[in-house]
Amino acid sequence: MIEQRPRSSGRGGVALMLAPGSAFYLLFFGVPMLSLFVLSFWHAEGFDLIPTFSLENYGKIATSTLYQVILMRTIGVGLVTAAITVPLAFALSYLMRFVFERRAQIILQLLLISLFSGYLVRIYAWRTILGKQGLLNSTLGWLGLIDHPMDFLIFSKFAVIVTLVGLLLPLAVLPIYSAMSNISRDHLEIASDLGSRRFYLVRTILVPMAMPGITTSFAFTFLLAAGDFVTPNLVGGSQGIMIGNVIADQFRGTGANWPLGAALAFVTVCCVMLIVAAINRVVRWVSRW
Amino acid sequence: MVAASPRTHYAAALFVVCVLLYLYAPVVVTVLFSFADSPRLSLPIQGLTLSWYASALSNPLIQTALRNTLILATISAVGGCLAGTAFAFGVVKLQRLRLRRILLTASLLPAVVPLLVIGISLAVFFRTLGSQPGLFNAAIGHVLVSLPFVILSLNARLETFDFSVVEAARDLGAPPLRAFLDITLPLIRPSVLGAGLLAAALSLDEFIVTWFNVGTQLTAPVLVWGLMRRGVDPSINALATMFLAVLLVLFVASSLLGRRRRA
Amino acid sequence: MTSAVEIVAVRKSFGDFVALHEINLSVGEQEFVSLLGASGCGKTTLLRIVAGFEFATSGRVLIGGEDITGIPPHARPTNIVFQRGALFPHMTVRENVGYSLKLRKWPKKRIDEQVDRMLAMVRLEGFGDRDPAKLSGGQVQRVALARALAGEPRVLLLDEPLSALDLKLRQQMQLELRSLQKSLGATFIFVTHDQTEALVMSDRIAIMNAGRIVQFGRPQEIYTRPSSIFVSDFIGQTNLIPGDVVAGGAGTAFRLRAGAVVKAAAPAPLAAGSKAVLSVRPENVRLIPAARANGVALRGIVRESVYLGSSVRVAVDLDGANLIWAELREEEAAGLSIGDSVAVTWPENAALVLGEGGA
Repeated sequence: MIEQRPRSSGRGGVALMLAPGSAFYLLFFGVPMLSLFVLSFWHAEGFDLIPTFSLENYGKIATSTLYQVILMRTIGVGLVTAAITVPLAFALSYLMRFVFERRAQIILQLLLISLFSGYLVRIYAWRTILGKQGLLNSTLGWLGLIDHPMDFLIFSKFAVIVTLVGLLLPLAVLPIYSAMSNISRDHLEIASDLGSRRFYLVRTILVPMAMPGITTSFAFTFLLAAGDFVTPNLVGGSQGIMIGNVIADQFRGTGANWPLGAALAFVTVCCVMLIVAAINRVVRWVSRW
Repeated sequence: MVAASPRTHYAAALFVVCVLLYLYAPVVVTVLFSFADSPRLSLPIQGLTLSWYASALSNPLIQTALRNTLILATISAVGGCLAGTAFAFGVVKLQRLRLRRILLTASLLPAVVPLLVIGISLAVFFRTLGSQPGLFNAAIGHVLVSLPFVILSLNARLETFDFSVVEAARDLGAPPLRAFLDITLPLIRPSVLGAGLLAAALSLDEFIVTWFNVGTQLTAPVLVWGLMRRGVDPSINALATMFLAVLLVLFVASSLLGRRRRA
Repeated sequence: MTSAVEIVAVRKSFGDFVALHEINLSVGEQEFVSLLGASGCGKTTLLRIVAGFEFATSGRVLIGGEDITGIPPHARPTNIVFQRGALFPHMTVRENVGYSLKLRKWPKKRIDEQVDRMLAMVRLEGFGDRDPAKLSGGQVQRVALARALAGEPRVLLLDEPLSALDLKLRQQMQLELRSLQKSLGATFIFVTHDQTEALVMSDRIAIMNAGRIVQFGRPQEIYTRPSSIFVSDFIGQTNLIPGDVVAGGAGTAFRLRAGAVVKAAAPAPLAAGSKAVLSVRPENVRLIPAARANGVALRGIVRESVYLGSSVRVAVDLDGANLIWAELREEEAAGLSIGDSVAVTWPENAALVLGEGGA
């Protein structure tokens, strides 16, 4: 029997426990985000930052086709990455939850371990695999399957997407798998007693019930793919430059312009958020039918 | 519907194996080529060697980089654990469920914002404060990056924590601090240690936030980044393999500690 | 009799929600008092206020005449047994039981002796070195009891300690707890939602509903003389038949909707003409074949008969208006079949008229 049983330990105690973490977040997350936003209205002259309020950085972004092309490409790469990663993650979660139930913990551990196997190293290794003289080309050549190395493999959007999917897939599985853990076999068995066919079952029971996990996973994947700059830098080449590279260059490159970088960062984050929100809206609208 | 025919069952197993191969291909390649004696990274491998390990370890910068990385990992493990544990406790003790959910969601925000944005915003913040980029700034970044994960994993533990044992201790005559030391701490210690190891692992691998805030100092990932940008160098693979080993140990230890919590 | 625990005008609210309205309760030395009520009635909150885990919004709590209202739990002369034991999982049984003594810095030898005594008392000799995770549900509660009693508290508080056990074990533990309390001469306050448990164990029962104590008395008193519709419905089973009061006073006359007028006792005076409810327990209702019944006002038709093993329950339709259930021995019910016309009667003092306002 459960009665209302609040755990009291004194309001002062609770506040004291929350204080260090909250202060840290406020000082080193809240204030910096705010200062980044403020900085986006400033002006850079050489290495000096001039505090003004001008929209010149945003104007520059609005009028530059280069930035727009790169931003569109970033969004495109992000969407394609998410569109590949999320269905893979869904299939994997489904198999872990309902087919290989006894192996699910091991598969989950393997996914997590790959997540911790070194961020830079994993990207770099893809260069080794996909490179012109790389593992894939040299093996295929050695087997006599190709005469010339395939050069779209590396320094291309293809390379960026392949790498990003590999980086983000383990992360994408977690929310979907945890949403599916709440779906009991009974739900599915009742539905199949009622005569649902398998595909129908997935569409009408499984997808709607796992939907919160799927949208979280999609948002995560898209956000992180669009915000990455190491992957395009190492495997993207000139074709694969993404907005992250441009932003990073404004902070640590030779022609650094911090206020412009800050404005670019905000424009990017806003675009990405809007797209995530729009997609959620559409999904909710569609799934009502 | 779950009982599938053997053929689709095999197809499903094949799918899982393929996905895992895809995820582990980079790891396998890295480890493999760290022992290959030809600097050209292609198959078949001619002979095995440890010389890349020797050359990686003889890099004069590596000692500084490793030392700095260890310092950062320690700071983020200890700092993240202290602040994160206290915060997770505070959240669980809150009586208003709505407030609890809001605080918990807010505490996870840094995990959702791209690291690039966190990195540059901290850089801007420190610059306006006039604080020179360096290890201290990077350490703040590391704690910030690991805090959400520490809070999330401890919250999961504390949500299922039976606080009536603490009340029992208080009832039997233990003042608050004594009850915490005698009962609460021993019971949550595995989870706290696990969260600490997680924070350390995140910090060891953290590159992006570090890159914008560490200035001219070196950490292991920053050093590796420099080597990578210079071109093909198999000693990167050796370095990476050693790192991989450390991360693996940390991760496995952390998840083992997490699992012991029910015992 | 001096009071072991005195609860004076205790009120407790959580925000807008009032959990307890002005509770007054006095528990005597060596008395076993149960707080009985449904989930959410405030009984656990009241117990936790006595233990010191919650603080009353207003009012006072006295133990042995001493005001302990603002004193934290560790400094109170009370100990509590939780619903699920709340044993310290990282300590052995022995360490659990000796914990309060260790806090009091008793010498080790004395602790060992006391722990052995406690374990013997709950019949768990030889379990001292066990890990709590390896105990059964009943053993866990025994250890929790031993742990709570080890420090010889003035008052032992029990928060539904038996509710997680299965029925057989629960019944056995009820008797054990009861005899333990008598032999120790200790004061127990016991929270439960199980009326049988409260009837079996208690010297007195406080029935709670929506943050109030609605009746406080000996088990028999509560069973035979419930002061309200709520209590008569909550304790045991009863027939509740609506109607109105024809004449108030000592021998209240009550008219059923069906029209018949019967005499009944009224615990609280009721004005003639007011709406009320007649409460009669099924075991007190007797059925007589209509042909042999002279001068019985209440008649009806047998509608249903349910075999319960030790007895038979028969439902009688009172002229289409209300059903009344009678619990009969098998031979009493033998002659009755569905559709029979019967007269319904009960011993004079077995029926109670209760006002509908019913607090």
